[in-house]
Amino acid sequence: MKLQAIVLFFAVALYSRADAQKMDSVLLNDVVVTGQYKPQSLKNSVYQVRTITREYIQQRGATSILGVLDYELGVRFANDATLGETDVELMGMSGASVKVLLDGVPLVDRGSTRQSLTQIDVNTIERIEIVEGPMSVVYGTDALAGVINIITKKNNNNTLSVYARVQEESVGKEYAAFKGKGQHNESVGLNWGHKGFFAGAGVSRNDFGGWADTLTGRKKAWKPKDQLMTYGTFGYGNQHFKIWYRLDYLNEDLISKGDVNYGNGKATDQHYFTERYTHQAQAVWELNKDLSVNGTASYQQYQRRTRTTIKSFDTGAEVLSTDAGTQDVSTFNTLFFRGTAQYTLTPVLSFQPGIEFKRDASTGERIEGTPVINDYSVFLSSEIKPTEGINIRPGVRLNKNSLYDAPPVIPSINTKFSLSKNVDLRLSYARGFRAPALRELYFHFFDASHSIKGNPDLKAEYSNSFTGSVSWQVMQKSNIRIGVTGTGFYNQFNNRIDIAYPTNSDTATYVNISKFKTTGGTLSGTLNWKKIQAGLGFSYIGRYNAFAEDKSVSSPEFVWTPEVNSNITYKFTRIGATLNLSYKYNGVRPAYEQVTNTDGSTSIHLANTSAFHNAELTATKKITKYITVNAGARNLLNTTNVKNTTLNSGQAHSEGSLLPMFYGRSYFLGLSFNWNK
Amino acid sequence: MKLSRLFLVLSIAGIFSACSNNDDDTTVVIPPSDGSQLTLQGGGGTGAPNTAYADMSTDKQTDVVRTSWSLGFYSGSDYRVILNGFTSMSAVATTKTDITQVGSADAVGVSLAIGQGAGTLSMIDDVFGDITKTVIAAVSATDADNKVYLIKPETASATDSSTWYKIRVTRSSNGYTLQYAKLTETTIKTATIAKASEYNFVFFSMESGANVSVEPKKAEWDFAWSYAAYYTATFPYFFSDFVVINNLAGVQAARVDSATVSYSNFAASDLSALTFASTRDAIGSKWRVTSGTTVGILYNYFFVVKDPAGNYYKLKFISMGLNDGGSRGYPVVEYKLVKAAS
Repeated sequence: MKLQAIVLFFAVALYSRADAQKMDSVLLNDVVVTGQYKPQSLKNSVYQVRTITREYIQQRGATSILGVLDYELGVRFANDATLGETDVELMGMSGASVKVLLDGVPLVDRGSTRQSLTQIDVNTIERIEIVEGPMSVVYGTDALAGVINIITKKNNNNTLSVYARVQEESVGKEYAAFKGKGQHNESVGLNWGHKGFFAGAGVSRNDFGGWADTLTGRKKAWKPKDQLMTYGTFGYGNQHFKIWYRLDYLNEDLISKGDVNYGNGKATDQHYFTERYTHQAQAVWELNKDLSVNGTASYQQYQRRTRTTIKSFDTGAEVLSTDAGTQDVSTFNTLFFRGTAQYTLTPVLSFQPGIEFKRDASTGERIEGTPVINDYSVFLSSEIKPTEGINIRPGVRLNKNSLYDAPPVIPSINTKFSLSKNVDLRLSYARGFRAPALRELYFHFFDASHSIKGNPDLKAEYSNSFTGSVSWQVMQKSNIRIGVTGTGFYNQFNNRIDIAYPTNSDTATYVNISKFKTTGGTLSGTLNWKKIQAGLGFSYIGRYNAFAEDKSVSSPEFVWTPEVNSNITYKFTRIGATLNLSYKYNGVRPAYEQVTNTDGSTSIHLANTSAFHNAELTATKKITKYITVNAGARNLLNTTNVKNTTLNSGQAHSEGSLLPMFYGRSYFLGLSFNWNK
Repeated sequence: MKLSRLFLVLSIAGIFSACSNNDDDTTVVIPPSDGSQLTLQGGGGTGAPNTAYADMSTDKQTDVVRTSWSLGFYSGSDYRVILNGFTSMSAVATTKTDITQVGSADAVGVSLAIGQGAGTLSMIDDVFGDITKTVIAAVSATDADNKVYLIKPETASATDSSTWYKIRVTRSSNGYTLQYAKLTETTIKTATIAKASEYNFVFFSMESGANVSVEPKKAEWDFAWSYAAYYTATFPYFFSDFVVINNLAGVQAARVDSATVSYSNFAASDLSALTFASTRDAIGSKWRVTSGTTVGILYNYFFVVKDPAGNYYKLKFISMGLNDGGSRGYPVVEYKLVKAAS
């Protein structure tokens, strides 16, 4: 099987060819930083990196990071209507295996859902870099499926710039001006630089009014959410040295109103308040042309508070609910430090040694005690360039954890071969790992229908990943550029942590039991011709079917989902306008599930999540030197809930369930102001 | 509330006037309550500490600590013993009849883990309340037929059998003799329990070694709200906010879809169209949903309950503490007399 997979992987890697994404072929000379020794051009990067540019973010009129990831190949969202949260899936793996970084600093999340992605101010982002496949040697835990690195704007030129933005958006057909229904985004900020010193600050408000769908009462299908995000940064940089500090703050209020109970004239309302402080300080120092050092320190405070109130419509009184679990505060504090040095010994050989320290502390109603985890790692990679066009980067990471058995050695090898001037082949093997989360180690939840306990003896999950890609610059002329990229991957995850009951025990706990695999590939091409940029991509991703091991029923090892995306941009250069059409087809997503029949026997059932299309048309136009207007229609095909044919939706004999995917066709109009001196 | 109070006042006035007139109380009959609201004192939370027994005709609820008893001894003509099905108690028979010969060796290979997918329905009493289908077999007049049982109370450990009990029940004159001890104990305790005909059961606590008062008299309760043993598919499952009817005293219930006839419009003339169930789970969990995306009371249904005296009440659930302005573990019910017993 393994051999077969490796053959498949090479086959996919070799026969297919293409380029990154969207507008990337134009941006081959753009620098990327994720996992690099120093900022590197996309073409020279040993990793296959996808980038999402500032320009694209603005063109899309995005108000959150999810709003620009949604048309990416291999990216899917899972919306939790009850919690009002969205998890992101990358290449068939859920959020727990995706590492979210802010300028290289891992962001804290409460659970396995990558909420942090929705809690970063999109207005301060310069670009987003996505690397698929494990990057655990450099970034440690969680980076199994890949890394999403959010790069913020930095400015150390002698300039002063001010930006402001107002955007109003409908949520389906629901809209009210500037407040309440619809989506309301306002942002203002400035950046200053003088003789190497620089500073910046900004504040954004993002209010989402929720969406009722078919509900008619106070309760909403999509929960309203108010976000206030602000940041401040300052630093100093010269040619050889740069140091800066940045603080991001988030205040979020997720509102879950209950319907009025006419039997007692009361309603139960919940608020989930999230507060985040993300401090980071970073320094880069080039001691000489062969040696540089980087240091990154971060302290993050995350607090999520649940407040439940009962409002009486007879008396108008609102009182706090006294029920168990209705008033809760969870906190997570993380201290993080990473230091690396980059040393070029000879033109053929360079090294990057590094150290990392992480301390996680947390408290909460369902967490036993006030656990603290300390994690120490050292890592070393080297870059070997035996001849022009060959780049081989082996790496290894050693971990020591204060609590659980960390995987002692995490190896990886990334290679890049320039087969010709225009064709690059990248092949890699890497081991990824995911440390047991605090919750998995210390969860404590006992009530009438739950008895779940953390397991401090957990081991880390780990993966063996093989990835490959071929990028071919088919044509590189001044008025026409064509590029194609093909990628293939095979990932095998072991010791996956799942909830299970140990024999004869009535208390569930987390154990390292399950396996998972993903495999597949993507093929994408981009065309830049005169004023047109066009991209077309296809992916076919297989996710492991755990029931394949059960020989009593026949089911395939993988279940496959196809995706197609396309992106066309046309620039009306004379009038300063741009038109963009984005499209994505998410194919049927099958999943086998075990169903308990009424007679108590169990059987395997294939549940399908229906296919759905997304399309979006946006336009931007400069109306004065400083002011740009943008407008668009999202979700042109009016996708809302997507049908799932599961038989396990909590209701016996149900006809399946509806997954909330989007809230219908909506429109936005925005104005942005940019002034530079 | 007001109406029933008025009735009560009138009745009391009636008693007084009766007393003052001719000292003949017996001719005065207190009419059944016309309807009211009751807050059942489950004690809070999903695993509520109390069982609350409701009697609609007297507008009364009685709350009892769920775990205050271990076994219930049937007062009817049969000789039957029930487990405390308002806790996750499980039991299994041994092959032995001599309780002194039963020890931890008899627990080897025996799993009494129950709930969350563990255990079998054979470890608990019939979830439909059939008194002839208890885990503990009918207590035989022939002593040699009465086996020793292993019992795991809710508070005991599934993996440590020394926390379990061993019991053996035999008949005594109009009652039962219970022998019991913790599994590894050698001193066997004995209790004699007499039937009490006004009650469904006489309850006994192995913790305290004494009889305990649990259910009201069998004619004085209609349904009980509690955390209770029930099932999913074919295995035992413990339900929060479960409602059992007093089936042993003849209580019956039917669920009505308010699309057919609304709660307020429901009248005595609608009774004949209903099919009443007399199983213990006639109301059960059918009035609410606690998992999935929409949880809470199913407001599109109400129930009609025939009480032990034969009065018909329509009954609806107002709040249970799931997004309804109420408090979990303190359910509020409302009921109204549809037809008084003739």
